[in-house]
Amino acid sequence: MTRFVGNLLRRDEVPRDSNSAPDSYYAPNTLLFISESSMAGVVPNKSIKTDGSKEPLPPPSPTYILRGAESPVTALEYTEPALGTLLSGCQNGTIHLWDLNSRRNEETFDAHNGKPVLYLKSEDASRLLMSHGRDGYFKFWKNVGPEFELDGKIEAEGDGFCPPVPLKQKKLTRLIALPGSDSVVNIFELNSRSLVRTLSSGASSGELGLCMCMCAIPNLAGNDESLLVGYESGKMILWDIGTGKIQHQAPVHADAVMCMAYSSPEFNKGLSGSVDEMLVAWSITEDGEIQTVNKLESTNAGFNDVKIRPDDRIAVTAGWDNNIRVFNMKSLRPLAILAYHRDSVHCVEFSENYMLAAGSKDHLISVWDIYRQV
Amino acid sequence: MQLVQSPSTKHVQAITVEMRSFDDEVVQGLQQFLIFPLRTVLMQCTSQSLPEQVLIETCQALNVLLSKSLLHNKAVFMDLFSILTNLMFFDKTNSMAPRCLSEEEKMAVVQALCTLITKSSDEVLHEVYVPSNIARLGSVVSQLVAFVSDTKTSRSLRSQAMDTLLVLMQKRTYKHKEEWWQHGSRFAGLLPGISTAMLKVVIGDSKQGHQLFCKALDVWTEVACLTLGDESLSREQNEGFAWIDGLQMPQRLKELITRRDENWVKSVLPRMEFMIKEISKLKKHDNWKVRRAFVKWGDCLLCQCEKSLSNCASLILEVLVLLMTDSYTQVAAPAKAALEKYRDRQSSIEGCRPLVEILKENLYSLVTSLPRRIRMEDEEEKGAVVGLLNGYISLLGNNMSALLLSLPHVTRLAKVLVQVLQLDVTDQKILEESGMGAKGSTNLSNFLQRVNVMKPRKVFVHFRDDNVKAGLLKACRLLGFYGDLSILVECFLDLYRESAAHQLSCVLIINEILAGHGERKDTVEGVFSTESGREDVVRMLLEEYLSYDNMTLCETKPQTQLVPVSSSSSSSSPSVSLYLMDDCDAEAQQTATTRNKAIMLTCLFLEGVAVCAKVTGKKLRLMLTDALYPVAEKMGSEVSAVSSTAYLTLCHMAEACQYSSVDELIQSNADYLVNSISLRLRHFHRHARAPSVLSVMLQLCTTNILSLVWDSIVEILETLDEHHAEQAVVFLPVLYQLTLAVARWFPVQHTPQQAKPTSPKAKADPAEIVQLLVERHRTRLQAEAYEEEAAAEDPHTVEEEAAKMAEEGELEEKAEEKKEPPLHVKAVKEVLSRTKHLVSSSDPRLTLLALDIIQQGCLDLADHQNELLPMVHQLWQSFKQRFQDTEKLVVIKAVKTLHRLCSCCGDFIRQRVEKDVLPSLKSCLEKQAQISRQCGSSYHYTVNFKLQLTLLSTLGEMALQMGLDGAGLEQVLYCCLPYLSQHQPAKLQQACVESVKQLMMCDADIVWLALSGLYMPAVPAPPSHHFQPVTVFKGVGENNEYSTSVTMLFQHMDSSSKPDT
Repeated sequence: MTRFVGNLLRRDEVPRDSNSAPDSYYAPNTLLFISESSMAGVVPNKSIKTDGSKEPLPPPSPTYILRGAESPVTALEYTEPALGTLLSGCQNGTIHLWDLNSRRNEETFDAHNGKPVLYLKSEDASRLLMSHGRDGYFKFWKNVGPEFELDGKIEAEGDGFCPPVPLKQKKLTRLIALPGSDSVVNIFELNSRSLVRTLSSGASSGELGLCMCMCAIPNLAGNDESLLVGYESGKMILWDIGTGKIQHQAPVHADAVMCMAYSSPEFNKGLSGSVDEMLVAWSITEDGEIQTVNKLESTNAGFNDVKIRPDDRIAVTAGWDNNIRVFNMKSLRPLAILAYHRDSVHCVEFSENYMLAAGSKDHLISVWDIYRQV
Repeated sequence: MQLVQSPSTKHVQAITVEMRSFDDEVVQGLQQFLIFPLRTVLMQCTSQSLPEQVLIETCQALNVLLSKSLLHNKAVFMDLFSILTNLMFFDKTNSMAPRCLSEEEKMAVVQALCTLITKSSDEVLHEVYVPSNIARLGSVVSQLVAFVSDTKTSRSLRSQAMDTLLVLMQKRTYKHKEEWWQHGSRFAGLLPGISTAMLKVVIGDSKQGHQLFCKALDVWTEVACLTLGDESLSREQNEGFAWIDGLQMPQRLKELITRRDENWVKSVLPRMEFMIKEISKLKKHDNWKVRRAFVKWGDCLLCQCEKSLSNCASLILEVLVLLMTDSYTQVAAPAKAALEKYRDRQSSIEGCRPLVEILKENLYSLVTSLPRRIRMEDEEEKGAVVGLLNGYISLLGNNMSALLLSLPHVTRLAKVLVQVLQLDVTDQKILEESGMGAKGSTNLSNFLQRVNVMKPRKVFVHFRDDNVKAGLLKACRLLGFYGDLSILVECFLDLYRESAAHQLSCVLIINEILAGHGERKDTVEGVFSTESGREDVVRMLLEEYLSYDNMTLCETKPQTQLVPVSSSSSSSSPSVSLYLMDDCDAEAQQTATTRNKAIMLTCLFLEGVAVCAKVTGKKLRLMLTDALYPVAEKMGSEVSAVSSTAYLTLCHMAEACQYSSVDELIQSNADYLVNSISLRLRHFHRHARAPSVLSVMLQLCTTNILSLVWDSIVEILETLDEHHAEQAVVFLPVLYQLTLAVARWFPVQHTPQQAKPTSPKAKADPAEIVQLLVERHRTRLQAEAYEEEAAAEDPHTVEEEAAKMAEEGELEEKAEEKKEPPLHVKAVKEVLSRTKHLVSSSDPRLTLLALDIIQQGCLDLADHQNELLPMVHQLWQSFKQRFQDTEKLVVIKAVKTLHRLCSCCGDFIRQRVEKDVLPSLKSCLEKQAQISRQCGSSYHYTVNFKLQLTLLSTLGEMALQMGLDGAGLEQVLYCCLPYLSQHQPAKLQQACVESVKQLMMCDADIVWLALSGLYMPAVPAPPSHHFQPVTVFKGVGENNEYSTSVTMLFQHMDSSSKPDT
């Protein structure tokens, strides 16, 4: 277990395991800053002077801030890098379109009747947009000129906190897992917008609790993806979509599973966070079982979101303590703490060129340029 | 006929006059007849001595005659020719001559000769060149040359002689003749003589006048072209010298005709080259006509003697190129035309060395010698050299980019330019001028008044002349115009990074190159550079220029800026001397020169940004995200050079982005600024100036910015909480600006509370009075209850106070849940709650600022009494201490603030004022009253006087607004009374009278009583005889020091009560 300390880690001190990434992965001589300043009371600037002559690098700052959302930011989605657009969903149900070149809000529209937006997904060069909100609808939007037009919706039974997850199967390539009422998860086909399967444990709803978060687990061998669902009880269940049966279940957390992310099947590592200080790393065995690999303890409790960068090198978490934490995926050790927000961070998202965006309860979206040198 | 017998001036003149009156045709007809007498006279002149005037008149007559007719008769022509030439030889040296000719005579003869030659028909004229006449021709020419080269002769004669030479060389005719090229041979022998003489004239005394100079140059050109012209030479060499051999004439004469074979050419060339070199030295002649003659000279030589003088081509080109950049278009245009003509011809002729190559070579050698020449030669020469450089570059035009593709060329050029444009930063002025900069707060609106906007003067090490500077900069621009932008910029950036010594000139050059490149978009688009390429370069440059390190070059350490000013300083901006002291501290690390250099470099960076803006135009809008803030920040620099450059840069940026003004630029891009500011606030120790930019924004922007800056303000407040002492000075102005801005954005509807005037009450209906009294009593009770409660807290310990406040906070939160106050109210509240700590700061400057904020903040909140009153309550504790402050300025400000509080809160603070403030003010006023009595006029300038004045002028209104009555009112009144004395300064008296008038509106009776105690004009008459006359007052009717003021007040009291009756 790793305990965070207010400290500066030099490049060569960055913990790495033997098969770690090539050297160029870390910027040479870059000081990696870790601090718990806001909570642990460690003043960042008092940190060790490394060379004596050189001033220590200041703690990392976001590249820029997107201001103008009038409500806590709850969902983020990058479009293709060429378009340079970021989509954000708010607590009050509005979706904002940000031009990342001018860094200005291009368009705003109310998508979910004042209810928080949980999920955003753009497709087809952002001509198509899908969103899910706590109003219980999964909505399709078409980009008509400058504006978005509603293009149908799916009614999900639930109005919980769980964002949907797209799934791929051999035959049905466009599936979406939508949380239903209580612990039920419904799988819809997007083209026909029809329900194809319902995942229900059959146990009483009290046992599992609400469905809190999900992620698709691709299978190395085949194309059929499984669905991993985290429940309010702290239990995680791996569902086989084809059969609708439970593949494996494990009580990974003691409390509700707030967020989870899974790397590529080759790397085979997942992270999940709960309301406590623990961040659990797990993997899926060949037999399709959930196996806890490691537990990380952070100084502050509560994780809203976790994302693993597509290259499986780093993972970031959105914390209740207003901080974004960066972890090395190989060693599962902390790399940096990004402190900027004044309120709980709700969501994090990587762009295709590895820019990191974070949306917070303080209405701001921060965009970070960190560890991009590959 | 008379003329022949007795040649006299009169007769000749008569003929001349006659001839003038005739038509050309008539003269032509009479030509033979008229020539005869003239000839006879001339003959007589040769043989015997006639009066000087006769010869002159005769020659003139001949002139007139010939100018009006054409000569066709060979015999007559030859006759005249020989007579005239003979006449010419009359000289001291010629023993055969009867006498020496005078200047005028020579002049007349030469002129006549000239006319004779010009007005003779071609066939006739041909006679002169007949080989048998070669000797005569030679002697004539040499005599003419002798005239020319004799510097003692008059200018007109020399000029005329040269004209004649020109005519003799037969520009006019030889082109039509088959044998024209043979002329060359005839004159070849004379070439050295003529050319040397002309050279002497050309390089001779500059006083001789430009006309002579031009003519000499013409003659030189003519003779050179004639003898060394490519065509004539080749014809001659091809056809051999048969024509000479075939001539029927004595061998002796034949030898006079030079055989222009290769050997001859070889022997002549070195001399010619030498002469060309000599002549070309004079290319920078002062007179433009001379320079134009040079153009012609170069043109002819290049045209006609290209092969024979090919060695001199580059030299001649150099002259032409230089002249092409001449400031006179009359010179530059033909020079350019000549060069173009040359280039065209070059391209059409195979096997010739292309002009471009020559130019390149010349440029290369010029560049090589440039540093030396710029360093060593005099200013004028430098200008010429630079002009030459420009000429080459512009002539090479698009070929330049090809040239620049070669790395050695580019690096050499770059190094040379960098060396040459070395900036001199040893001048103390740069630093001296820096004192006037806009220190601290960047207040755009009065920026222009405060700072004399000017660009820093650039002084160069190697030259002083502005022309040289302009020329060199133009060279850079031309490079940018023709060359490939990215290669050039890359090259100079390399140099820039290579050594610190070159940074200044590198940046300067890059700026110019970029500017030059920008000019291109209007004309032709280059082959090598596309729009996007330019944008990339601009982005790269902006990034480099505006990098943190570059932008903080000329900053003194923030710590030294924050040194608190001496406590006596009342102005918020420290004086120049303070700044200089700061600088002395820094002197240890950096000498004036390095600091100068830093300033200069910063200015250059900023200018570079302006150039970038110009070049990119509207596309700059996208780059503003990063570029706007650093420039805006620099506008607040304390170095005036930097701040004014930054301002100019902002102007350029606004223009480029098509905003109407800098204000609009900032308004429209406030979000970018906010972004930069908020990120920088996080690293406050590195970006101490960020708050001041924020305050500028607050000044300029409108309501919608509030939500944008909200998090920055919170950041500031938090930073303030963390670093109370050090950074408050920086942050408080921002907060003050915020309160001001809020006042501007949300104008207050609230009108100052005024207690109802009490005077009418006496006359009102008794029932109403009763009701009023009852109501009044009730409210009083309520208020007192509340105030007692509040007062009860006062003795409590601090912790209890805090707990109480926290409780209140909770209450507030509950209230907020019901109805969230608008953001601006929240902001002001946050600000005010911070100031409560700062009001009691030990630094008077901070205290003053904090009081300012309270003043403004209360005004902002006036419409929101629910927020305001608890806030005032919170502030009161620390605020009331200010009245005991040792610093009188603070007290004054506190009084003013109290005044504002009264107008906003009205009777809410009455009890507190009575309890906490009035006693101290009273004692103060009473004490001062003793001092100010009978004081001198110098007292008016003391702080105490100001305090008294402020107090006296505000007390009345405050009392009125608070609805002061009873004991409180009395207290106020009695501390005012001493100032009604006529021994007090007039201003104080007046202020006091005004205040008392207002106090009357509170309660006239009390005032009347008090005033009566001072002075009683007469015993008041009882309303009816039932009343006993009042006898309380002593000294009724006795005038004393108070009588004037009191009488005035009584009058006022009467008049104000009258309308009610």
